[in-house]
Amino acid sequence: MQQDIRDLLKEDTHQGNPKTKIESRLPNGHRDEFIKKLRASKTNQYPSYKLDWFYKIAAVVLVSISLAYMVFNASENETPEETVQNPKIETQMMAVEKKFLASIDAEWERFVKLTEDKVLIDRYRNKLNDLATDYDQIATQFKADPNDIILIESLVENLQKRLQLLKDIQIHIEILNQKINNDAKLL
Amino acid sequence: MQSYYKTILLLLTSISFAFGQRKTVYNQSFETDKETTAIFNFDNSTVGIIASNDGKIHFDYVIEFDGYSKKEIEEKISEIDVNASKFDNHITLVAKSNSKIHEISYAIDTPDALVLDFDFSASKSDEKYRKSKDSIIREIVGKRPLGKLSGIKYLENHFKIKDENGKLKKVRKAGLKILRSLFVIRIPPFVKLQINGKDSQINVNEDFTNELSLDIKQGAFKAKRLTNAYNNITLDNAKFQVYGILGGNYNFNTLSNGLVGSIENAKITSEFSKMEVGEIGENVTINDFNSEYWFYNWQKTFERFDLFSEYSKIHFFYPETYDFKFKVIGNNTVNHFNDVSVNMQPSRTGEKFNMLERKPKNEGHFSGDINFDVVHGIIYSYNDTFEPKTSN
Repeated sequence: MQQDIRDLLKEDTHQGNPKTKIESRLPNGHRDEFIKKLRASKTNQYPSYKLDWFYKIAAVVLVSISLAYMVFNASENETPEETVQNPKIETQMMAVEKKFLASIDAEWERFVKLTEDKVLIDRYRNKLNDLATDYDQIATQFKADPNDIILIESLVENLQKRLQLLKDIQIHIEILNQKINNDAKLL
Repeated sequence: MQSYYKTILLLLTSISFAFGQRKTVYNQSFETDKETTAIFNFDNSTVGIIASNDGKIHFDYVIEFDGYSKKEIEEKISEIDVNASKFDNHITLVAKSNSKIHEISYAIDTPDALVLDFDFSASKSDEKYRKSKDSIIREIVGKRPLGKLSGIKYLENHFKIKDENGKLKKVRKAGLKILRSLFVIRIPPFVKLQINGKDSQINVNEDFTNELSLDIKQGAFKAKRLTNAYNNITLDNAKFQVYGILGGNYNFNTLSNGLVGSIENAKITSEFSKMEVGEIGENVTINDFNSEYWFYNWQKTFERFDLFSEYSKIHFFYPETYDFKFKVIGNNTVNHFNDVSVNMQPSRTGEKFNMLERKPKNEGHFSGDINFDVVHGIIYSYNDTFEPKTSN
């Protein structure tokens, strides 16, 4: 017999019965029996703590690997992309050396034209030769161990020093020559 | 949740052990007495020297490796040769390496992927303000070797890595190998010491009173106060940074980044060098060819300062507080006073003559005489007593 469920609920509410009509139809102890069966069925599965540990360790490993990847690759992702063709580091260094030596030669030519002081020229020649010898020694070390990055800086410092010495002395001589020219005008 | 943190801690500890390894290279001690002398010969080495309080000389050499394989560590260690011996109360140490052992070294597994990427033309700015003695010392303290993090930053600023597609990327820590040298020598203050160094860095990490004879060719020397009238220090194409010099003879050839906090009772002979002096004390004499000097401050009583120079560039800051005498003799020299260029008459015959003189005012405390003997020189005189400028 078909019944409207709303009528059934209305009927129970009117009677003030704490249990519903459906519940009152269930056998005694049905609820307790259901809970016992439910618990028993859980104990048949593999232990929950083992599953927790597995997930925790997996999560830690996953987080650690992700963090490590992020840290090690963070800078990589930040850089703008630029396609280049670069030679070996030794070849690059040779190109730098060639550029510097050309500048040093040019500055030397200007320097010897600027002064008549032979003693000064000789001292500079000796000094530049000494620095060139030092450079050769560092270059030999660099060839033996191109992995040593600091040696690259030592090589560049040596070249910079030679170039700077020549530039500085020319400025010095020019200042002195200006003074002499001014004195000549005054006389 | 607690177990979660323990797991992370365990993981991180394992990672740190996996990345760093510490290897003892050499370990030896010798008894000494007041008659003991020592000679240390360094080649491609970096060493720190401190005082020993138990009357013995101790040599402790350890290297820390980050990112090196076991085989690479063995190879690196095998390249280093250290040996100390004692004969007839004389201790000799020889420490050398095939490749240069810096305080901290950086290497990359794939050097061919590296691209040089820094400004080769960068040079030091022309500083024209008075620095205090303490600011010079702070500058020396600040010039420490690169640490791990700043090392990465340094590499990022100087190099790029090319990947397999030819794209330029920043240098990453992964693939970077770091070697840290910890070579410490403890020496009693009464031992007379001679050090010869080539391509080496010597750091004297405490005030040093031993009689020291030092000869360094390429490399660097850094120290706190060096106090001994018999010190004899020679540096050629090297860096020199010292908190204070009290006594001794100093020979500098092509010195770069020379920094001295204070100096007194010492003689310097120099050429092609750059040197900043924080404070000049009693009886200092400098003989120079073609160097650049900064004389920032003067002790209350410096008695006498003599400079003999040729083709030198001098930055001269006047004594600020007390009375003094200043005299310049020489030939063919320009004196820039603030922004005004003062032409001192040249002698056509090349003979030296009295070019400039500031007589003492005979008021208050008299500090001393400053004598310049300058040929082909440029003097920049800064009198910031009346016009204070920016200072550290």
